[in-house]
Amino acid sequence: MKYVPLAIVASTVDDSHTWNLIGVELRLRERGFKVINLGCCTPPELLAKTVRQHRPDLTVISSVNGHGSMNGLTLAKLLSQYQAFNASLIVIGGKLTIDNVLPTQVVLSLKRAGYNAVLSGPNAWRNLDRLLERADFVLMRKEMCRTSANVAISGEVAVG
Amino acid sequence: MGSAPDSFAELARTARAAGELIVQPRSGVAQVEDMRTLLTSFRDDTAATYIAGTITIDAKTRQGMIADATGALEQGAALNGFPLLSHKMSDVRSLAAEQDERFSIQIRHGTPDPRHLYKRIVEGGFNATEGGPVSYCLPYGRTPLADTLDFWHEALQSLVKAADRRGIEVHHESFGGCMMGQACPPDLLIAIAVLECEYFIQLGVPSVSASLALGTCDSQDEGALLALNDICADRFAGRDWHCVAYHFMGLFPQTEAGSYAIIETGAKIAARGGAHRLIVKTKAEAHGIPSLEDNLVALDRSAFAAASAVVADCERQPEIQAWRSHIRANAERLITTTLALHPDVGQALGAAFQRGLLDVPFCPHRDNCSQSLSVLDEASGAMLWASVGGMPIEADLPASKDYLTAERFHDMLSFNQRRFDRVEME
Repeated sequence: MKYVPLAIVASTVDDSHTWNLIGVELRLRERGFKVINLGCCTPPELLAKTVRQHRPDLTVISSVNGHGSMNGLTLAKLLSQYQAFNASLIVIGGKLTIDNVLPTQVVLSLKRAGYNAVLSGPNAWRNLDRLLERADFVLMRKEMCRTSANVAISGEVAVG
Repeated sequence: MGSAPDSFAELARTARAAGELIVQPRSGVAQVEDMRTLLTSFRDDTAATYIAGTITIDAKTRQGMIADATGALEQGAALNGFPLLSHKMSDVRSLAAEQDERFSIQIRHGTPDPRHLYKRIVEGGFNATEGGPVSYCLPYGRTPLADTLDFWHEALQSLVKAADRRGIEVHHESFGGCMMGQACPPDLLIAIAVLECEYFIQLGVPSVSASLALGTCDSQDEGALLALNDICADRFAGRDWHCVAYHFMGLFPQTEAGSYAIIETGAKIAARGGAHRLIVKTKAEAHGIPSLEDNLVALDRSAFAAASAVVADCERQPEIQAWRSHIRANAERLITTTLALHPDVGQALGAAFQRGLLDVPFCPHRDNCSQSLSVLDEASGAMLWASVGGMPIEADLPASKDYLTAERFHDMLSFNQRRFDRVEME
């Protein structure tokens, strides 16, 4: 039977945009993922708990309101407390600051905080794809690590 | 202050009688004197005849975190709007005193729970605000719809009471025609805007406006604005109402030529569609926060474009009239189906969303059924229904599971950016 990887899509606590989350969800579905979309203004605790509970292959945090780097750093502390970075590949992307181009030091500080990749600018989608190609072997490894074989998708939070 | 000639509703009536479109920028900064500079410049430094000023409330105040907003203000931190509840009332009133017979100020906020704010708007010397229990709930976060309906009921009662006590004609706009910013067909947008206006009226608001965001197809946009006007004229006869158009709210052109092309095209459509007020975007939209100068130029260019665009009904293309009657029929069906659910408009709105009789596409809020789907027709730019879910209207396209792909979704969102940035290439 073909392995179906699981992804969680989430936003930051004060970002009310949804089109970016829908875009990420669609793209991941087309690449064979089962997706749990936690929706906009995601409470950080909900994200951390969901990651720990479901141990997804990939978690994408998408933010486009310009506060993403600030919120992303705060969020990383909580994700670390929950050991979420051990439970999933976690990337953050979108329009993360109010600058036109994401400053390199912001990319570095987010990576130092624990994110596996920071995806922003015109190549963001392409880089996500490249990451997924490279991550193939990681996904298989995660499958072995899963505590339960069949992870129930909560109807309460799933979209689409 | 607050005497009849200076009210927002009166400004709208005066402009309408003169056949002029009111232009309105967005603006909100933390400090009183910086806010005054923006407002007085909008009032004094544009060639537009009638201008509505905007005070946009900061995000902390919106979320009810008043102490945080006050703390940030005292520390001189950069708030993304005006913390109306953190300033001294005398300072707030001094801003309201800048209003005159051709310049009136609207408080814009974006909060699902405006109870704290609505107690102070009239006291601060203002008489106009906007939003709605659906339009500031579904696209904005996680508050349940049943809760926002309760919050707004209480907030509007206090707003109306405060206005009545002072003999002020308070105005409330519905943001319903801008749900999700883009990618929703106009019949549903119009239905939600009109239903929210019905809700305001039921709670005693004497003057309302219904909004509609411009989209991706000129003839559909013009037909939709005409339909909105038709429905308001019909339903709100004998009351004070007007229509407000919003410049396109999605991904904006990145070039200067493309930006001014979409700004001027939008202003012409607004005027031809019979809008009475236009919320104006600037050339900085795709890049960041606009300067005062960006705003002034956008206001002037919008006002000039609108003034040259008005047409008589008989000159309209048949395509526009076809959109007008199609959109009107669909919107009317959505409105009457909803209103038939309960005599209380708030309860009717809640029930309509619960049953999927109103269902906003691309809106993952848990109180939205999320069974509807809209697609953009690449040839015309029109937004069409691929699936209507449980709504009492018909889909424009045959049922198919293949409409929604990541690529099509991206193409839909970037349609106007591509369309207008091409202007510079030519």
